[in-house]
Amino acid sequence: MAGGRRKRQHFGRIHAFSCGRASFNGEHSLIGGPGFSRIVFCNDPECFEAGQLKYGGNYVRTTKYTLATYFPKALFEQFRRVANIYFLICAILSFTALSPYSAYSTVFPLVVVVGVTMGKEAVEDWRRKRQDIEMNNRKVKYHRGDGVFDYAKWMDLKVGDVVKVEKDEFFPADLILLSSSYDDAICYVETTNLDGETNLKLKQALDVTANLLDDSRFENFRAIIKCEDPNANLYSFVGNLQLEEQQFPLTPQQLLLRDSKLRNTDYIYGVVIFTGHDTKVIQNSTAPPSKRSKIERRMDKLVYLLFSALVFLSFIGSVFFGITTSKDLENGVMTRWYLRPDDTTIYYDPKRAPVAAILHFLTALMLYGYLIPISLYVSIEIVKVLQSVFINQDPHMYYEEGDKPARARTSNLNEELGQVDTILSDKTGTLTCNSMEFIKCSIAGTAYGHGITEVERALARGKETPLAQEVVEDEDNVEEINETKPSIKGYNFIDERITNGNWVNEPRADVIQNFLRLLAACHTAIPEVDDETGKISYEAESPDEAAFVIGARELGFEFYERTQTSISLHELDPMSGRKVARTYKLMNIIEFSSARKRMSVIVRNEEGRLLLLSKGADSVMFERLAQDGREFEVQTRLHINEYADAGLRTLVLAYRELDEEEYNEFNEEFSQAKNLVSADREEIIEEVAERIEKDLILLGATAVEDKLQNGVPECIDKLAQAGIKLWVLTGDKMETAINIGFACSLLRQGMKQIIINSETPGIRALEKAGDKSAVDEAAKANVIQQISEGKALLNVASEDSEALALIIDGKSLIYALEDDVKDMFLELAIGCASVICCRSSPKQKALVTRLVKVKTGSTTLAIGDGANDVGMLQEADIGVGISGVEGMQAVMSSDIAIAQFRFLERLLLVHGHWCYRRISFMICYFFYKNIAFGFTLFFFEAYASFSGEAAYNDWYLSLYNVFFTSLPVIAMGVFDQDVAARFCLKFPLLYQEGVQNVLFSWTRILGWAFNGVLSSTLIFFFCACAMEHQAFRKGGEVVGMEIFGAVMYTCVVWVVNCQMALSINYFTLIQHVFIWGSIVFWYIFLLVYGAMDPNISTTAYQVFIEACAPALSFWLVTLFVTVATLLPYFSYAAIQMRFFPMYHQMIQWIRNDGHSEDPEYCQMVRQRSLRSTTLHVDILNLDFKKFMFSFPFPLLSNQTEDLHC
Amino acid sequence: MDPNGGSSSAGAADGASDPAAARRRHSKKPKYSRFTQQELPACKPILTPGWVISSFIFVGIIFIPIGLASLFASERVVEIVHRYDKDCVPASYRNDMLAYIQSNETNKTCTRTFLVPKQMKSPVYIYYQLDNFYQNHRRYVKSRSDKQLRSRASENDTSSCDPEDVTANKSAIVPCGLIAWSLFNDTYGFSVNNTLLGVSKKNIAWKSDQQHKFGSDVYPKNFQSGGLIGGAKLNSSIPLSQQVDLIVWMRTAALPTFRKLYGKIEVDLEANSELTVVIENNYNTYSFGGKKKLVLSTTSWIGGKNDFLGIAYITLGGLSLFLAISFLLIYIIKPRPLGDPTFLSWNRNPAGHFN
Repeated sequence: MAGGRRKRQHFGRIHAFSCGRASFNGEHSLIGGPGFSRIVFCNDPECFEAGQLKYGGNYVRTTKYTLATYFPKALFEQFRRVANIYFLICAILSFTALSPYSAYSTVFPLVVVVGVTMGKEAVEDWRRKRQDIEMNNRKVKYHRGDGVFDYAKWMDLKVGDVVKVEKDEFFPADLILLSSSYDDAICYVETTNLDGETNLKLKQALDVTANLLDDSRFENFRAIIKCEDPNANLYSFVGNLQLEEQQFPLTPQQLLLRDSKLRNTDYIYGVVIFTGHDTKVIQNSTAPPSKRSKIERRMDKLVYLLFSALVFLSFIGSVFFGITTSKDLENGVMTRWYLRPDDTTIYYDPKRAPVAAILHFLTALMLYGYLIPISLYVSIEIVKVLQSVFINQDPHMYYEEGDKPARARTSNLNEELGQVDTILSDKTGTLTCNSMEFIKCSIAGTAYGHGITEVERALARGKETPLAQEVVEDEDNVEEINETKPSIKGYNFIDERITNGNWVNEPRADVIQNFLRLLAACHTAIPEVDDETGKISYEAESPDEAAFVIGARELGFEFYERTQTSISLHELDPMSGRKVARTYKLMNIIEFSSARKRMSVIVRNEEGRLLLLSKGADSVMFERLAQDGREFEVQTRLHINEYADAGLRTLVLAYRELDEEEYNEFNEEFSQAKNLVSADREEIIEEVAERIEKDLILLGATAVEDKLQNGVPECIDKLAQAGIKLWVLTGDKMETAINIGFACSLLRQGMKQIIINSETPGIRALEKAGDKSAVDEAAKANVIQQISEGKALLNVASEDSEALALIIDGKSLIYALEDDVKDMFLELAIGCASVICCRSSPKQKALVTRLVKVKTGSTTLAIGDGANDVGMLQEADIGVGISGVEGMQAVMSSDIAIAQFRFLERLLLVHGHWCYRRISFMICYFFYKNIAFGFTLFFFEAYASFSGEAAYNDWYLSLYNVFFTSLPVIAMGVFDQDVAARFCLKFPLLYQEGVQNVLFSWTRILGWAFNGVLSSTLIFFFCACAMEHQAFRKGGEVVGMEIFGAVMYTCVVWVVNCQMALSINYFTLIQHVFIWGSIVFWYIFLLVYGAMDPNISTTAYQVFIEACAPALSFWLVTLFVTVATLLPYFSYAAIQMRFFPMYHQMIQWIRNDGHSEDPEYCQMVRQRSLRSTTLHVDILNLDFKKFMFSFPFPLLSNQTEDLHC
Repeated sequence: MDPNGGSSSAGAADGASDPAAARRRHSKKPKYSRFTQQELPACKPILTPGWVISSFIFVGIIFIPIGLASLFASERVVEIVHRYDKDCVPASYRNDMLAYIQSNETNKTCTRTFLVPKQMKSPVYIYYQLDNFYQNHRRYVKSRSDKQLRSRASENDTSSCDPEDVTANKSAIVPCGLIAWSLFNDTYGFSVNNTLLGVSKKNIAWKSDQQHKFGSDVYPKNFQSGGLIGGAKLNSSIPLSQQVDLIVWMRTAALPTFRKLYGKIEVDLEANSELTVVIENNYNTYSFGGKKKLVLSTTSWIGGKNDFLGIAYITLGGLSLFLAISFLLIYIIKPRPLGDPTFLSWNRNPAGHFN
C-alpha cells in the first residue's frame, strides 16, 4: 500500500452508531465472576500463571472422530438403527443353540454392512482431517520475543501471543486489536465467512495501545486481559485490559474474530485471547442440518411392516412346531422315535412343548430374518453419495462467471428433490442478480435514461403491443451501444442529454449539478484506488449505494477519497468545463435504518455553506419537503410510479441549506444522543434527526434496476409446467414485487390478482391515533375480510378455470399467520397459482414455510441467498442456497447449493426426478428380493415340521444380500433413467410422478411385496414338484437337501436378477456386467465353495460339480422356474405399458417410435403440462382427442433399432 | 507489497486477462465424462408389442419341444412302486403293528410277488421310499459329526451328536448322531422266475462322499450298543467309506417323502416276468404312521419318472403361445395409441393437484 500512516482523525463521527465507547458499567462488573473468569497474560504466554490456566492450543479439529474414538463412536452410530440392532442381536444369539445356522455366516454380512458404512464415515472424516491440517498449518507472524516477529503455524499459537496480521490475511484466532497501520488504530474487517455480510466492518483499538506501532515496541509490552469465558455469541464481548495498573474496558469493537479477514489495512497487531475450539466461530459452528426425506421415513415404516411380517411368520411357525413337538410323545410312546423325544433338550422337548415353541420363536425370528434387507441402508447410502457426485459434476449447473459448480451438501435429500410441490423463493439475489444498475433518474421533473428494463421487456412480450417493436428496436440500439462501450458494472444509464458532460446544456443544469453532487456525497461507501490504473472502485454497504456512486462517477462526479472528516470529489465545473477537485467537510452522517427509510449527510462545502443532503423512500421524503421545494413534485411522483411499474427501485433525493445556529443546536443534541447508553438511544437519535430533516428541496429521483438473473422467467415457466408452485417471499415493496412477478412470468396479464393489503387509509388513521389494540383488531378484521373475499373469488375462478395470484404484504401476513386465520389463508393461497408475500421479515418467511410444510404435508423447497433466508432454508424440507454475492450464510445452512436460480430447473426436473425414481424403485426392489427369498425359507419350513432348519447352506444365506443380488440394484440406483435428461426438460409434467408419489405409493409397494410372495411361492412349489422323490440324474441318485437347496437358490438368483433386468429402463454395460455377473458369480461361487474342504463347505461340497452340473434336469428346472416365475410380471408389465402407460412410459413410446422430434406428438403428450399458469397456453389449438384416436398405431413396427443391446 | 494481496483486492473494473487465465487453470468446472454426465451408451428397451409377442412366441417355440422331450423321457422310464408296510404285517398283528415291529420274537420276513409291466433295461435301480419321515428336522439334521466320519483322529468329536454321542461308559459312538443311529434296516432279496438276482451296491453313494467325507480308516465302534436300538447295525470290520447304505442314508432328504437308493439290479427285467421280493421288514415306521414302499425304476437322461417337468414345460409353452395370440388380438382390436393422458393417475383423480 502506497499511503503510509494516515492522519489521526475521529472516525467515530462518521460511523455514528457503531463506535459507542463503553464505560465501566453493566456487564463489566461481572468480570472475574462466574462465566467471566478468563485471564490472558498478553505477550507473556509462557509465564507461570499462564501455564497454570491450561487454555487449549489453537489446533482446530472438525473431524467427527479421532483415531481413538473412531471405533466406539462409529459403531454406536451404526447400531442406532433398528434393523442393525436386530441383526446384532441375531448375531449374538447365533452363538447359542437357538441358531438355525452357523454363527459366522450370521456375523459376516453384518460385519460387511457395518464395515462398509464405517469405511464411508472414515473416508469422509479423512477429508475433513486434511482440511484441518491445511488450516492448522497456515502461517502467521507472532512475537517471538525481544521485539522480533517470526512466522508460526496457526496451531502453535497460544493464548497471550501477540500476532501481526497483514492485509488480506485471515485472523488465526480471536484477537484483541492492539494497534494498526492507521494512526487511530482502526482496521477494516470482512466477515463474509461468519455472517455472510459483504460490507466491511470497522474495528478500533483502545487509545492506550494504539501507539504500539513497531515490532520493536512489543519487547517490553505486558498487559493482562480479563474477560468472559468462551461462548458462541458473535456480537458481544465483555472484558477489560489491565495496563500499567490501570483498567480499560474492552468491547466487541476491539475483538477480531477468527476466520474473518483483514481488509484495507496494511497490518494490525493483536493479542490472542481465544484459541482453537474456544473461538467464537468454532463455538458457533453447527453440524450441517440433518434432514430425512419422505421416502426414507416411509421406508422406515416399511421396515417395521416387514418386522411385523417376520414376527407373524415366526409365530405361525412356532405354533405348528409346538403342536408337532407335543405329538412326538403320545402317552409315553414315541412317535417320531428317530428324533429321540425321550432323551431330548429343552428346545425339542415334547413334555414342555410350549417352552420349546417359545424358544423356537426366537430361532424363527433369526431364520426369517432374510425378510429384512440388511444391506438396504448401506446400499442406499452408497447410491446417494454417487448421485450427489452426479449433481456436483453436472456442467449444466456450473456457473462459469463465478466458477461455482452445484454442490450437494447432504446426500440425504436427493430423492426429495423429485417430489417438490411448493418452492418458496427469496427475490433479491435469488431471482435477481442483486447487482444494482443505475438506469434512470428524474431530475427537476424531467425523466432521463432510455434504458429498457427487463420488466418492461417482459410486459411488452406479454402484450404484443406496438411497444414490442419499439422495444425490439431499442434493444438493438442498446446492444449496439453496449458493443461500442465496455459495460460498467452497476451502470446502465443511456441518455446523451446527460452523459459526457452534456448536462450543462440542459435547462435546469443547476439542479442536475446538485443532484449529481448529492449522489456523489451522500453515502457511506469507501473508495479504493487502483494504484496502477488509477481507476476507482467502491466498497459499499449495499449494491444500491454502489450503483449511485458509480452512476455519479460516470456522470462526472467522481468520488475519490474519504477521510474521517471529508469527502473529496472530482467535479465537472459547468463554467470551465474542466474537472476540478472539491472537498466537502463531512460534519455528520445520519445513517440509514429500515425505520427511517432515509439517510442524510451534513457537509460544509468549500464556500463554507452547510448543506443537508438527503435521500430516501418516496413515502417518507415527500412529506418532508418545504413548501417552496415542491416545484417538481407532481412530475417526480409520476416518474416514480412509472419506475416502480418498470420494476425499479426508486429513491427520492432532496437537500437543504442549514444555517450555523440551527446546525450547532442539532450537532449538540445529536452528539449527546449518540453518547447515550440507554435502551432508547436509537429512538432519541431518530427524533433528533427528524427535527433537522425537514423543509427539504426536491431535486429528483433515482431508479436502479435489480436485474433478473439469466433464464429466470424460462425456469419459472418450466417449473410451473411441471406443476410446481412458486411462492415468492420478498422484503420488497408490493409494486416492485408485482412487477418482478410479471418480469419473471410468475404473474401474467389476464391473471386475476387478489391483493391483501393492510395499508388502507382507515388503518393508517387508526395508527396515527396511536391506539394499538384498535389497530390490531381492525387490521385483523380487514385481513380476514379480504381473505374471505379472495376465497369467494377462488370459487368463481375454479369454474372459469381462471388463474389467480395472491399478493399479500408483510403486515397482513402477521395477521394471516395467526392461529385462527392461517388455515383460511392457506386454503386461499393453495388455490392460487402464484403467491407473492411482500415486505416479509425473515421470521415470517420461516413461518410461511412451516405453514405450507405442516398443513399441506407436501414437500417444500426454499431457495435463498442471504442471511435473512436462513430460517426459511432450515425450516423447509429442502433448503437450496444460492452461492451468489451475499456471502456464505445461506449456503452454510442449505442442503444443496447452486449458483443461479435457473439451475433449479435441472436440479429438480432432471436430477430430482431421476433420484426419486431410482431410490423408490430401489427400495421396492429390495423388499421384493428379500421377500422372494425369505418366503422360500418359510415354505420349506412347512415341509420340515417348522423345526427351524434352513433350506440353504449357511453361506448361501449370508451372501445372498451381499454378493448375489446387491450390485445390480446399486447400479440401478446410480444409473437408471426412465427418459433422458432432455426429455425430462421437454416434458416437465413428468415431474408430477414424484409430487404425486406414484412410484412409491402403498399400492406400488404392496404390489412389489405381492410379486415377491408370488415369486417365492412359484419357485418353491415348482422346485418341490419337479424334484419330488424320483431319481435326479441318470445314475439314479435322488435329491437330497443339499441339491434341493442349491437348485432352489439358483432359481432365486436367476429370478431376482432377471426381474431387475426386466424392470430397468437403461441398460449400460455396467448393468449388464452386474446383472449377468451376479448370476455367473453364483455359479463360480458354487464351484469354488464346493471345491473347498468339506469341513468348510459342509453340505455344499462338490454339489455343483458332481450332482447339479451333470444333471440335465438341474438346468431344465432352472430355466423353467425362471421363465414361469417372471411370466406374470412380464404380462402385467406388457399390458400396463401398452394400455395404461404412465407418463414416463408415454415419453418412452414417443422416443421409441422416433417421434421425439415430431411436434404434434410432443404437443399431444405435453398438452397436459400446459397449465393456465404458464405463458404458452395459446400456442395450442388442436383437437387432440380426435387426433389421438384417429391415429393408427403401427402394431408390429420396426422399432428394434433402439433395442440392439 | 504483499504478494498474495494483489489478485483478490483488484477492483471490479479491472478486466485484465491474467486473473481470468488463472481462474481457468484452477477452474472448478466439472470435467466432462460420459460417466459423470450419466450419458453412458445404453440401450433403452421398452415392451413394445413386437417385443412382447415375439418373446411369448419364442418361449412357446422353445418350451414345447423341451416339454415334449422331457415328457417322453419320463414316460419311457419304467417304474414299479410297491407299498409293503401294511401287507407285511401278519393279520394277527394288524391292530398293533407297533408291537409286531418292536418285538424280537416275530418273524419279519415277508415275500411279495408282482409282475414286471414292461421291459426294464439294466441298470434297474432299487429304492426304498419313506413317507412322513422328517429327515429335514433340525434336531435330526444337526445330529451328526462330519469330522468324526472323516478321520479316525477326530473319533471323539461327538459334541454335535446329542443324544447319540457316547455310550453309557462315555466312549464315543462311531458313527455318532441320530441320523446314523436311525439307519434304515429293511432288506430286500430279489428273484425273477425263481432265479436269484444279485443286488449291486456299487456306485449308489456319491463319489465325493466315499472319497472325502467318510474316512477309510474309520470303523464303526459302539454302534447300536445302547439300550435303545434305532435301526441297522454296521459291520465293524468295514470302514465307513465302504458303508454305502449308511452314506446314502446320511444324505438327508429335503422333503418328508423321499426315496433312497438301495442298490441296482444289473440285468434286464423282461416284461411280464414275475418278480419275487423277500423283504426283511425291520424298520419302524409304524409309530409315526409312515409308509414304506419298494420302488424299482429305470432312468433316462432326465432322471426318474416324473411327468411334472414335461407337463409344466408344455403348459408354459402353450400358455405363452396363447398369450401371444391374445396380445396380438388385443393389439389389433384395441389399438390404443400412446399417450392417452386420461389414464394418468393424477388425472383420474379429480381431487388432483390443481383443482
